[in-house]
Amino acid sequence: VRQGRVSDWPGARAVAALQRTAAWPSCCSAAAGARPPWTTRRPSWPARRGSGSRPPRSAATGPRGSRSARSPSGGPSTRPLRPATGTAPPCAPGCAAGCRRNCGRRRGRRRRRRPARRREEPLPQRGRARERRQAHRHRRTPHIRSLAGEFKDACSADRLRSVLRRFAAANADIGYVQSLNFLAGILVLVLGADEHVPAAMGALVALLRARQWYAEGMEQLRADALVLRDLLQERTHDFEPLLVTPKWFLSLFSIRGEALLRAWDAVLADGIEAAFRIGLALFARREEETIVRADAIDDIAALFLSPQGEVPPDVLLAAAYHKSLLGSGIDKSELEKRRCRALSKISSSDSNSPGGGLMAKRAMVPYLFARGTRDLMDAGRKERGGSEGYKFGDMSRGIASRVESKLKERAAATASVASPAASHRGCRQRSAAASAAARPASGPPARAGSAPRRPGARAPPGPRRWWARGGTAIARCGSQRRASPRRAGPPSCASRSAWCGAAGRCLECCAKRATGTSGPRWRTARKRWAPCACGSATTRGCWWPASGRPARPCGARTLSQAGWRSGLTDREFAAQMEDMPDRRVGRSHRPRRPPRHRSAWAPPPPAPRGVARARVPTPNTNRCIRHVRRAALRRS
Amino acid sequence: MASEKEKDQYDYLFKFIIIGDAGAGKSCLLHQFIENRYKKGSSHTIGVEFGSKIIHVGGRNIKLQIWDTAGQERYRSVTRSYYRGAAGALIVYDITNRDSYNHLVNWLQDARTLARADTSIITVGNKCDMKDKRAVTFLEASRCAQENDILFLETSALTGEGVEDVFIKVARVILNKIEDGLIDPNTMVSGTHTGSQRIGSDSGGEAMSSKTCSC
Repeated sequence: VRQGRVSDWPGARAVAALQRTAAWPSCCSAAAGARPPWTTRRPSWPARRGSGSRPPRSAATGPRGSRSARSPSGGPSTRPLRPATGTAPPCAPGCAAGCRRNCGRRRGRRRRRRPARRREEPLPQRGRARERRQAHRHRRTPHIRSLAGEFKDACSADRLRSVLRRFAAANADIGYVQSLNFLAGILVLVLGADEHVPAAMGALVALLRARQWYAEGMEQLRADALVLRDLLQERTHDFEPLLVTPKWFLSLFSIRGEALLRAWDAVLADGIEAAFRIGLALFARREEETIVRADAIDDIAALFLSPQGEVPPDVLLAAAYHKSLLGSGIDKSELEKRRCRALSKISSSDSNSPGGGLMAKRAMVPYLFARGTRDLMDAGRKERGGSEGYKFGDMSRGIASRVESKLKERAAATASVASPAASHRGCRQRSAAASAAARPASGPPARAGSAPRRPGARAPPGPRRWWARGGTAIARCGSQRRASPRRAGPPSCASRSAWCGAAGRCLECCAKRATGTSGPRWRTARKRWAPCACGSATTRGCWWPASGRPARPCGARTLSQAGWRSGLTDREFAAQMEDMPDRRVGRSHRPRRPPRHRSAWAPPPPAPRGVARARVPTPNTNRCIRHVRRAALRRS
Repeated sequence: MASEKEKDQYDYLFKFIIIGDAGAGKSCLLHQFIENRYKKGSSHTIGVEFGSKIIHVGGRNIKLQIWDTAGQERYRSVTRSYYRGAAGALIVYDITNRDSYNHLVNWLQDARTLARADTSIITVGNKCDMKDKRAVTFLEASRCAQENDILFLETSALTGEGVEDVFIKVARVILNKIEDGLIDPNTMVSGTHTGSQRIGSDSGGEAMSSKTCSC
């Protein structure tokens, strides 16, 4: 076990310097006017995102607005709450005697200055020392008091309960998790109106790509703990952050007062990167006290799990965004990469460990598809125990039937449905005029070019049929070979997994590329295919291998994993994503155009079904016609 | 400063975990034990909370390092990582809630598989001050505990009845195991360490540990 010296971390030095110079919000501030330039306030919500930032913006401006009555110019944190007088000698931070003395001296003046309504309760003159001390602390840092008091006034238990219930109803995979009440409470306070809170919570979770923080198994949370641990270890620390990550991440920082709102600002602006930065800064804040001795776990516990007292918000944020904290190499994409890797690590360890496998079984099955790895499939086969084994198509068929039923429900609700093809996710073409009338209002626009789907067509019984359909799917994936052109011979990827028409490779390879497990060119792939909002490694735009789906991308945004899991339709999910500030996921997604020379992309000629089935694909199917012809010419 | 050092000295450090269904009163039990007060309006635990206290058992100072875990089912995959190396486990159920008693077996299984095999486990029936709403009788719970070869006590975190006894009882069992040589206190993994490691150069701890060896 490596034991890191606290002072080794460059971030520690920065924080120490800050703590020496920055104005502390307590009465211990050394020099009222002297502020280091880096403690200047970050803009709470950068205007770089356009109209898509509605819920976060209101979240960010809400508390500002409410507090502006007290300090219209720059918010309370830009000046020390209690300016030090010239006569009082500055005492060290945390010096209780000094604090008490100074505050006692100023109490009278403060009372006179503040308007009467601000003073909700007079300081208790008598009573137990503990209560008096507490009241005194509230007085010293009024924003803390106000947040807690405001919450008590505004948020009755019933109100919170109803909000949480609605959120749980809308997000069946999450339901209610302890710690969601903190999110809900703050959003209730900030937004004011209850009806937007569940949606805002959903948006927040999607923004952080943190559905798996809360969902069964909490895989993402454990993965993020791994990432945080790696980040700490790079800075010669050794600490198990899983002790604190539930508190910090699930409830988005259990710090108090102003610092909490500022931390939320940063998280709303910068997403998961800010969460990690603030987490690291909270570690850095405790630096001086020589933590991180692996054997002295109770010391660590005392340091980390006691409520994080009055964290000076300026110090916290300046430390979080100080360049020495995370280093220049780690940005959002790097973080995402690490999270993806950690997630796959966690899930594989879950399925390997004897106890964990049982635990993860329920969580695993929906992800089987997304991860698409052989061992997961093997695990599934073992779990079933039968000779039949796990078939890849089983789950997709299940999903297909689920979608079918959902679509039917929706179609029944709109009551103007002529054919099931009308509601088939907009991927199918019908004759334009008839479809325009028949299309439900909520359906995405249809696209011309592909054959109509038989009404009432069901998913095929076996996994075989969808790739046996001539021309629409390719039996063997040659993507490995394409990815590394140096390798000669037959395509090395012999996977029988579904074909992703958009990406031009099988789903297993898609997953591999997205997780970076194979191929040197995953980086380019990542640029085009951002991981989906649930944090899973699936590539957006992948087609599920149910039959009847077109093999070509239709241009409509497909239902992503998160959409499936949350039970939203693609359009609803897309709308939710558009509300997100991160446009990279939402809007810039374009299905890749198929290369022109590859005739395998062309829609098959409308042949009778018997003929189509008779065309058994060979391993060479994915060579284009020109290629084949050229080869034939050469041979002749 | 000297008195603080005196206070900090202990012979053994035991790691305890408190597990059980949500709402069984785990955090209140811990709070009652540490602070001797009932925690009104306590919020539910997220992840894990800590508490530590030094008790005197059998003429030794024992520092208990108690991990109070979140009880909600969802957190189970996270709390699993806290079990490692626990020398004692408290499985808390609520005597007014039959379900929490029924889940006892699951928790027991978790504790046996994830902590050490020879972890001392005690079942704690909490809220025994609410006699009129009792759903689990003392007799059946104690019989269940006997069958599974674990200890059993009923407590009330509200009144403080039996709270201290729980911890002392488990600590005594572990201490007996150490003195019988069933647990080696020097292995870190066992969840117990001798105080001498921590105190370092202090002679007190050394002397204490040497006393243990001579037993």
